[in-house]
Amino acid sequence: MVIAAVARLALAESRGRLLLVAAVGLAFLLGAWATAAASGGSADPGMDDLFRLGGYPLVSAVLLMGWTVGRFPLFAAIALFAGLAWGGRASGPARLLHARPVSPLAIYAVRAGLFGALAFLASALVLPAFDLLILGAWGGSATLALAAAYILAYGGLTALLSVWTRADAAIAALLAILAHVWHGALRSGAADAIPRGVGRFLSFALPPQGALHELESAFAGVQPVPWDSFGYVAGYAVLLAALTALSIVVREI
Amino acid sequence: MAPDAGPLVQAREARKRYAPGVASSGRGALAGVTLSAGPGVTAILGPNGAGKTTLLSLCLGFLRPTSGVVAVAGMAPAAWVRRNGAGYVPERFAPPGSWRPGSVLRDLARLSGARNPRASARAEIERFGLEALAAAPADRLSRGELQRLALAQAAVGDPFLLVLDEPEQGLDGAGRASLLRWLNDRRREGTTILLATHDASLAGQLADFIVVLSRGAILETLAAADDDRDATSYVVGLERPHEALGAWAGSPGAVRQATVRVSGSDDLQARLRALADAGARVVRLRPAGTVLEDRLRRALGEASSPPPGPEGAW
Repeated sequence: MVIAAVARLALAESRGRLLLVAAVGLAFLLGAWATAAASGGSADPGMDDLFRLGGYPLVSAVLLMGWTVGRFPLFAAIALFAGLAWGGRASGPARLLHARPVSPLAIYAVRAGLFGALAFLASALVLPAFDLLILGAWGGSATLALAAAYILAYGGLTALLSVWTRADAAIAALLAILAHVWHGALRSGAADAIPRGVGRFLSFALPPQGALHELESAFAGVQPVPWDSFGYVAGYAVLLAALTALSIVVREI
Repeated sequence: MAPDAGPLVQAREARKRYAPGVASSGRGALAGVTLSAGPGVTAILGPNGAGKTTLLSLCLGFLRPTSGVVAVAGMAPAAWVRRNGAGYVPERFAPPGSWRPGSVLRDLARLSGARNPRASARAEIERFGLEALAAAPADRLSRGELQRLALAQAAVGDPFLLVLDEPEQGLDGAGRASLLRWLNDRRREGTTILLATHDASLAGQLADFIVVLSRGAILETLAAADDDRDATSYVVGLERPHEALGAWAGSPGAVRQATVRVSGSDDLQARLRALADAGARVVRLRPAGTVLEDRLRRALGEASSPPPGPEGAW
């Protein structure tokens, strides 16, 4: 009863953001459908076909769309987890909920579970549908593992930030960009000049883009799921969840 | 947990300082507040920035004192609230725009542990006149309607502790009457009510104890007896302007309406008789201030009561 009540209140509170996630997912699917339609309805249009149809702009657009859709779970996680704890601290629902005879940790656990499940559901619909429309096949279970990993990492990060700042979504997005850049620098060797200790600290402190990249490669190559990478991301999420719970206990509202 | 007869909420030398650079949302800090609040209404009055909201936040465990102690039934406030729940009306109530009073009150009643959440929500919807708005999204509600929703959400589940931060804000006459009725009912049932307000008249009508806060410190604590609610000034209106009312109000010439002071009900009766003997017909008489309100206004540094004198025609 209490879980259902918390979930209903959270859903009512987040209607706008749910619609935003649905709209972005729909935009990706429309893009995939348009690409397939433009290439004569054939699944998996080759780059040559696309180039003949629309030159560099079309090829670039499709490549960009393909890269971006892989980050849809990241976007869904940040959008839904933003403000998870204590959004509208003084005047909105946070204090109203804290005045009830229910543990705040239980309330935020239910909210996190609900938003995580919704982000996963949206990703589990959009990613395979996108692949089916544009490639005629989907990445198998690696697709779902990739979605779950992004949601665990960035949902957990946004939830932790939401206890401390209203700029939670913006900071999470910035950290995501930094993690991508740092991972790129590591792979290309551009980070070799950085002292080893600093590099290790950055790799640990930033979201686990290396492990996410492994999962993404498995998704892109229709490979088996690298479970060790998934486990690393899950461990990162558990650490974030513990820090979030501690922050909720410590932080004044 | 049934409320004890003694004070439920106690603060001893409670101090609160906000860290430099931390936005305090306009809340004032506290500089060592000691108070006890038991069953009945304890009103907290003071100007903006006096520390009223901070004090209420400490009492619910939203904030922790920098030094000193705040306890509810001997427990840390947050732990007590987690076990028993409290009714809370924030100073600025801004619910998510898509919340609808009917369903939200049912869910909040469930979270408050109401035995029959549906019936509890319905009762509060009726009490605060929200029947026609039960299915309306919050972003369509007016300021006064939102405030009635704020009161209703605090009332669901009949908590033993009510913490109300300027609950009269934005209410029209009917809303204010509902608020007074509700608080009087809860007061009779032995609920502990902490009421922060700028409205000396509201505090004067309801409060058993009044704490006047200024710059984070208690200026004065008043215990209100029934005699304190006796009127000390009245608005008197006549059918036609008359010199007798002008003389009473200390204003030369004929006056149709005036606020006048009396020293008690005998004085009032005698003066009304004198008006009638002089041929003045009284068509309006309403209290304009009480002993308690006068004391409060003095404590708040305002005029002790509306200045006697004539008023404009009505």
